Amino acid sequence: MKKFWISLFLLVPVLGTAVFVVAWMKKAWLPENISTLGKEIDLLFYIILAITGVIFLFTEGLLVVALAGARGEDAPKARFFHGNNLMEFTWTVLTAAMLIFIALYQIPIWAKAKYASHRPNKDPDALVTASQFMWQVRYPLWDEQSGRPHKLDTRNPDVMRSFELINELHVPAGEPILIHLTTRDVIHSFWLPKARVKQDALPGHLIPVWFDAQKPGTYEWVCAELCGWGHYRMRAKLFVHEKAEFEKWLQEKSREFLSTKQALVR
Amino acid sequence: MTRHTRVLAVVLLLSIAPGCNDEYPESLEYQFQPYHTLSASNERETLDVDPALAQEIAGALKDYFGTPRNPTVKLSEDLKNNPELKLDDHRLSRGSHYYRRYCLYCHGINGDGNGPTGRFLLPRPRDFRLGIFKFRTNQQGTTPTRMDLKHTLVNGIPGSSMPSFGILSDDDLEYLVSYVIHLSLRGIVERQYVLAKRAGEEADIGELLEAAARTWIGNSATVVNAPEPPGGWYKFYQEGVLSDWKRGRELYTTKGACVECHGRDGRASAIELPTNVNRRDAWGELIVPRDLTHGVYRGGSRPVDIFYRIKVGIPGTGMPGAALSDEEIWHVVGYVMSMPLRR
Repeated sequence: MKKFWISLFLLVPVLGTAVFVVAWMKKAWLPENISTLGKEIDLLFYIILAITGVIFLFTEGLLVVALAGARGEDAPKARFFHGNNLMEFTWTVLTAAMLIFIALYQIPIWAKAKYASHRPNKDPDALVTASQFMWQVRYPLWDEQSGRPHKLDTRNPDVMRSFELINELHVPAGEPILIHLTTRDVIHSFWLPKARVKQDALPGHLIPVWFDAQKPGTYEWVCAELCGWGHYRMRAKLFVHEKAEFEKWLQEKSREFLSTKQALVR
Repeated sequence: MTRHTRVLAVVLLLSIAPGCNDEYPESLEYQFQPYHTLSASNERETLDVDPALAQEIAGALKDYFGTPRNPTVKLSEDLKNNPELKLDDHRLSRGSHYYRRYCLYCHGINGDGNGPTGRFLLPRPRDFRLGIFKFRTNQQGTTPTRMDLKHTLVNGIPGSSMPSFGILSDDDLEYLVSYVIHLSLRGIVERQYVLAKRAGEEADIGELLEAAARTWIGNSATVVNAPEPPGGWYKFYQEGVLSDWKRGRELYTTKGACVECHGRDGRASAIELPTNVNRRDAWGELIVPRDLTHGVYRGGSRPVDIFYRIKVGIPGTGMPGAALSDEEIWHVVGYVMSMPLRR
C-alpha cells in the first residue's frame, strides 16, 4: 500500500513535467510570436515558469521523501515546535527576494508595452470600438490628392474621411502600429495572442494600444473579457500586410467606400 | 452497473445531447403569434385570434410553408427559382438550420421578433411578418432586394443589438436571406388570411402567397443608380471645406424639409416631431427620428448609403423619399455627414 501512495504522489511531478515536455515537442506550446516585444514578454513567462517549476519539483520531492520515510503505526510521534526564527526568516526573505526580482525585472518590458513614454509618435492607424458583440474598426480614408491617408481624429471621427470595417484589423508589417481602443457598452478586452497584446477596453476611455507585427499573414483576434452571451462571437481577424500591399489595400477600400454602387462591403 | 454509474451515464448523456441537436424538432410547427401594427388612427394595434382559429390557420398554412424543420414554399417552380427569391427546399432547410443557430433567440421561430432575448432589446428585433424592411436601395414596392438583406446581415445594424454576421460564408448568408424571405411571405399570407376570415370573406392561400411573392420580383431592376457627387469626390469635399456645406444646409432646412423631424442642429427629438407626422412606425413602436450628430448610421456608413436613405426613404417609418434631385441629395449627404464634427 505504501508503494502505491508513493508512486501516486510521484506521478504528479513526473506527469506535470511530461506535459510540458510533450507540449514543447508537439509545438502545442505558446502561440507563435510575431512581434518584437513578444520575445521579452515570453522571457518573463519563462522566468516565472522556471522559478515556480523548481519550487514545484522541490516540494513534490519533499512530499515523496516524507512518504517514503514514514513508518506507519509503530513510528514515534512527530515532534511539535512553535516558532523557528531561522526558518521563518529564510522563507520570508527568499520569497520576498523572488517577488521583488520579478517586480523590478519586468518594469522596463512593461514600460515598452504600456508606458506613454514608449508610445509611437504617430497618428493612430485605426480606432477600434468594441461593442456587444463585434469589433468596429475605423480606418482613415486614403487621400488621392496627397497620396497618403487622411488624419484620423479618434475623438471625433470625420465620418466622410474615414471608413469602418467590422471584425477586420489590417496593419502594415514591420512598423509600430498605434490603435485607439474604446467600447460602446461593457468592458471588452482586445487580445492579439500572436502579437502578445492584451488590453481592456473601457467605456468612455480612449486607450492607446501599440504593437508591431513582423510577419505578414492572417492571425486570430479575440475578446478576452467575458462580455455577455455573445462573447464567443467576438472572434475577428488580424491581417498583417507588407507595407506596399497595405497601402494598396487601403486605397482599394477607400475607393469601395466612395463607390456609388450597391455593394457588399466586408 | 451500479446505481452511481447509471446516474453518471445519464448526466453525461444529458450534457452532451443539447450539443448534438442543431435542428428544430421534427414535430415543431409554426404557430400563430399576435401581430402588432399601426392602426388607421395611428395607434398600436394588436391582431390576435382565438386558439381554435389559430389551430385552423396553422393547419391551413402548413401545406404551403411546411414546418420550421422542413420549410418549403408552395409556388410554381418558375417563381421559386427566380433569382430574387431563391426559395427551393434545399436552401430553405439550410437557412432554417442557420436561423435556428444565429437568429432565433431574438427574431423568434416565426420571425416575429419575440425570441427569448427579443423582449429585452430596444430597438426591438424586426418583425419580418409585415414584409417591410427598412434598409433598401430599390424604389419599387415595399420589399427590398436580396442584396439589401445580405448587406444588413454582413454589416449588422450599428446602434441596435443586431450584430454583424460577416463571419458566415457567402453561401450561408444566401441561405439565411432565403429563409427570412420565407418567414416574411408566411407572415404576410397569415395576416391577410386572418383579416379575410375576420371580414367573413373567403381567402385563397395560394393566391395570397403568389401575390406576396410577386412583390419581390423586379426589385433589383429598380435599384437606385446613384451618380458620383457633382464634380467628383475631390471637388465635393472641397465644397465642404470651403463653404461648410452651405448648400446642403440650405436644402436641409428648406426644400428637403429634413429639419422638420431631425431638427435644426440634427439632434432630433421625438417630442418636437411635427403634428402631421406619425408618432409610431408600421410595427406600432414609437418613432425616434435619428440623431444625426452621432455619426452612427444603421443602414450603412458609406456616403452612398446615406444617399439611398434620403433618395428612397425608410419604409415603415416617417422617413419619406426626399423630393430632391440627385445633385441636391449629394449636398444634403455632405451636410449630414459633417454634423458629427460640429456637435
